[in-house]
Amino acid sequence: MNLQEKEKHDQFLRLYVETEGSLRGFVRSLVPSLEDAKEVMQGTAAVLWRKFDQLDSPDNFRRWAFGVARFEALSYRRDKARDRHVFSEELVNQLANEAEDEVDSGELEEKALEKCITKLPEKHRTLIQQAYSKGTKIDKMAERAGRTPMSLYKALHRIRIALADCIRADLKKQEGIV
Amino acid sequence: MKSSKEDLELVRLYLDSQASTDDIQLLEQKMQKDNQLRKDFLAYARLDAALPYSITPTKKEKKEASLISNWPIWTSIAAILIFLFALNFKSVKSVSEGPLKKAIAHFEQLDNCRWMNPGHEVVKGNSLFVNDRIELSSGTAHIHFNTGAIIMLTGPSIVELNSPNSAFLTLGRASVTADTKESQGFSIKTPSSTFVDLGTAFAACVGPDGLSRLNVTQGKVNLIVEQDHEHRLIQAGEAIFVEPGTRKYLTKIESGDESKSFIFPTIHPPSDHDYADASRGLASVSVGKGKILKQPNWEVNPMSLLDGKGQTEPDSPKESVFLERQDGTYGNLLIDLGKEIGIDKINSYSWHQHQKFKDHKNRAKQVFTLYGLKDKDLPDLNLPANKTGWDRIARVNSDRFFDVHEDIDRPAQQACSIFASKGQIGHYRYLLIEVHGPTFFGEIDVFGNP
Repeated sequence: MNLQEKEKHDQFLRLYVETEGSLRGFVRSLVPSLEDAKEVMQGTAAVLWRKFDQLDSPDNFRRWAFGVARFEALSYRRDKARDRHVFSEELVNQLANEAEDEVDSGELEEKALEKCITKLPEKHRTLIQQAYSKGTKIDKMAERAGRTPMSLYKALHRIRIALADCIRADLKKQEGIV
Repeated sequence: MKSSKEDLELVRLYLDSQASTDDIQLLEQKMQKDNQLRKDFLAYARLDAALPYSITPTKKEKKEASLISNWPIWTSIAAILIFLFALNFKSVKSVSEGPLKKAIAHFEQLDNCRWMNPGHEVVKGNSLFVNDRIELSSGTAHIHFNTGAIIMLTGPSIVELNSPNSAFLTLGRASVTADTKESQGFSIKTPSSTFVDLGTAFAACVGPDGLSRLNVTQGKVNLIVEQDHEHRLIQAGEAIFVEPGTRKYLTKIESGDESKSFIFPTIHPPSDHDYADASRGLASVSVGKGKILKQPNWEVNPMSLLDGKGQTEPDSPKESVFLERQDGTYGNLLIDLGKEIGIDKINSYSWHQHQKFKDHKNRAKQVFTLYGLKDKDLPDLNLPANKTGWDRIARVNSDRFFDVHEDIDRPAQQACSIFASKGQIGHYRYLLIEVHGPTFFGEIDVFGNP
């Protein structure tokens, strides 16, 4: 790799690092599963890198990245829509616009999530850790724990709601509302 | 979450890929009408996406040196690096060895290290050579140079060894100790500057946003800002940010003595002699976008930011300009200097400490972006400044500067000083402070000349 390529690579990494967290959440909100989100994110990163030369200014990277991610997610959904029901493009666009408005608090949300996870009871923390570890299948995890998949899904749902409420409270505190 | 249990269950079914066609149609119908449900849906989705990257490995997983990272961003960076590697960009070279090359350093200690190029074996004692590039995903690596300089690299970081006594930090954090005779002059280069050791200890940091940061813990460091070739001596206890870009702006943030005198180590207290001071009648400040906190019995005039003094008490909303968060943003403050002037320096001051709760000092933090505009028609201030022709001068995040992890760590009284590495910041009539946090601003000083 020559110096120019290396500089381009480093600049891309720096810009991508700054945007990636909020971009990932945005993509997840547009596709049905975490696996779908990973696929779309990979496609998005590939397009961003391939077309990086076309970016007029690093200041515009974020907006550009969100545009590419939205397009990738919509294309992915169009392919998927052949065999399953997905949201209409109208709703997806509405969600996308609102998700872009939310990105302002992305970094604060990540910090709040880290704090909130540590506040979970150990049992719940372990459950979340196991469920979100790479390669975990909920059905298998339930089988190992001797419970039904549905009860596990519901338990995880309750923990996620508790985490979401905790994050919201922490953000309010950070914003000086309480 | 504020949506009903039934609606949240629909969200769960959808995001757990368990929803039937009817469920999805119902959720869609509801979301089209219900703002709160859309908001909760998005929050839930963001949480679901962030969880795989935020979970801390269990003890068992830690023992097995699991590949799970607790740093969300960097897990995917590693993935991107692998991806780029797959595209034939041979960038994922963490360490190389060559039989004919002379080693200039070695790994002295490796603590819980994970490398961005998985599968690359790195062990204590490995030699390092000129041009070796080290891409550390997490953990701490101690690199001992033959000159005696020691870099403690904390992941995620990317560093390249340039010469027997220098390194280039692309991203991340490197703490340097260079106290031997041979290591004097050891330098860390960053994308915007060079930090040259003068027999001392310092930490260099390069953020994803390109901001370089220098903290001097012992002795002195010569800061050389690229392009300007301007030297600046930074002493023990001092820290400074260097903005990337063609014009180099420096930002210094300090904690005060928490008295109404606002005493800081090197930044001057609020001034009534600056160009913008209200007593001179040359400048004004107003809210461009947003709303200042007010109560039925009192209201704060934004002009108080130019009155030459900060707050007289630690928790004094009546003496503070505080923009309330609305629709996800705080808004902005516009300073009109009356005409275009050459600006040397801009200082901002904040103070907040709840009397009862010691860790409640959220409103002391300063998080804003400073923009300048020449003497021309003002654009719509409701639109983002970076889209409407403003020049970005500096980005300030004092929490990041002070490495605040817990509220209790945040200094209750803060001053931020922004200046150019060489000469003036620029010639501007308007300054815009785009506020990104809940700050109790007490004073803003603008130093300059027509």
